[in-house]
Amino acid sequence: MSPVEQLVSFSAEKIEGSDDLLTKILLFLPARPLFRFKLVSKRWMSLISDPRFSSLWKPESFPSALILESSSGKFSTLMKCLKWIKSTTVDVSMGIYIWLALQSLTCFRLTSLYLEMTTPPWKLKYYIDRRKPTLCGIQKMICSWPGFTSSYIKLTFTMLSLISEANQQLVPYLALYMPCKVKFTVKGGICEEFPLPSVHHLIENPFWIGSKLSNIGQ
Amino acid sequence: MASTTETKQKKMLILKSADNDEFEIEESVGVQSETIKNLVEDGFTFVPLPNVYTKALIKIIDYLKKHANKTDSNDEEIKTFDKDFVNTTFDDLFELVSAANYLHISCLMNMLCQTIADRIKDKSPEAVRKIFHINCDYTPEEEAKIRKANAQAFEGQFDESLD
Repeated sequence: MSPVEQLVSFSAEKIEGSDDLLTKILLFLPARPLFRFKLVSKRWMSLISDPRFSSLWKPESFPSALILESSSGKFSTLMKCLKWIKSTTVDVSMGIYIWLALQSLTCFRLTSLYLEMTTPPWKLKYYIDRRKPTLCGIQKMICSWPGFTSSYIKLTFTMLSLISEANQQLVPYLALYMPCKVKFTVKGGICEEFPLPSVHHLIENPFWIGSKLSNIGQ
Repeated sequence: MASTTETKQKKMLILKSADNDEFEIEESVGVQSETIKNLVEDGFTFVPLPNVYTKALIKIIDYLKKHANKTDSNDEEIKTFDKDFVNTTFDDLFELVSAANYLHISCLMNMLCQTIADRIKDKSPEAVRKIFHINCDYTPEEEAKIRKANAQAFEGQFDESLD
């Protein structure tokens, strides 16, 4: 091996030889390549899957995303959050008020949401205004919902992740996942239920989280 | 601030690379590195850097000098400098990032990690292995399992180039 080659492999070895250094680099990657790079080696897989990694991974470097993994500690955090919201039913009239329990999730950047609905088929989209400051803790969001302003809406939901949509220029959006059935109770007693895939489906297919809700339902 | 540093004699430091080359720099330039700063605070003026080779050290000193003279007016100039600084091979980047990590220069660390991440994010796992000189330690069955479990992450075409 020539001295140049030796030096070259030596510098790569320095990265490979230090979990700390490699982690620092991997923390700058978006979600999709991270999932892909689990295939690089067992060591990469273990670093990326480590719960400490997902807790360090911040949306400052990646506009909006959260690793969701069934095997990691992150999932139990999400489960806690999920239970918390599941027991919360929000009753609203004159628009929708959405409460998101984010106290156990440190890496969220959320302020205002834009809600869009088309019926049928129905579709929910939540745009995040990134120009506004980061908020943690329990966050209340108010969305106007044309057509429903005079309706009474019962919405039970779980928010699982923030992820930016691929191929759309810098428009991060929040995917809202409803774990069981969504109940819309319109004033007058008409009630409609929308079945959705189980949480397990989502865990197995983390990229559903970034999909449009209408696609998830398919 | 500027006038006081001009009237005072500038404090100098000597940095010694892993291949025994010595470099004299101003203390104010060197203390951007937390590692050097700690040594300076302990009274050292001679700093051996057994983990940093001359080639990387020259580049890093350049970086520190440039960033020590940061003002409002040369913002563009520094941006151009930074852009050129990271425009190099992966192996150079690895050498630099390892040195910056050892020296604890956080702004340089962030810039280098961001650059490496940006340059690998569209690549295939196979290309990443070559870039990082990693041997695949999965069996074909294990590989297939991971691909299946993360199917959506493997959709589409990936960059196979190594630069």
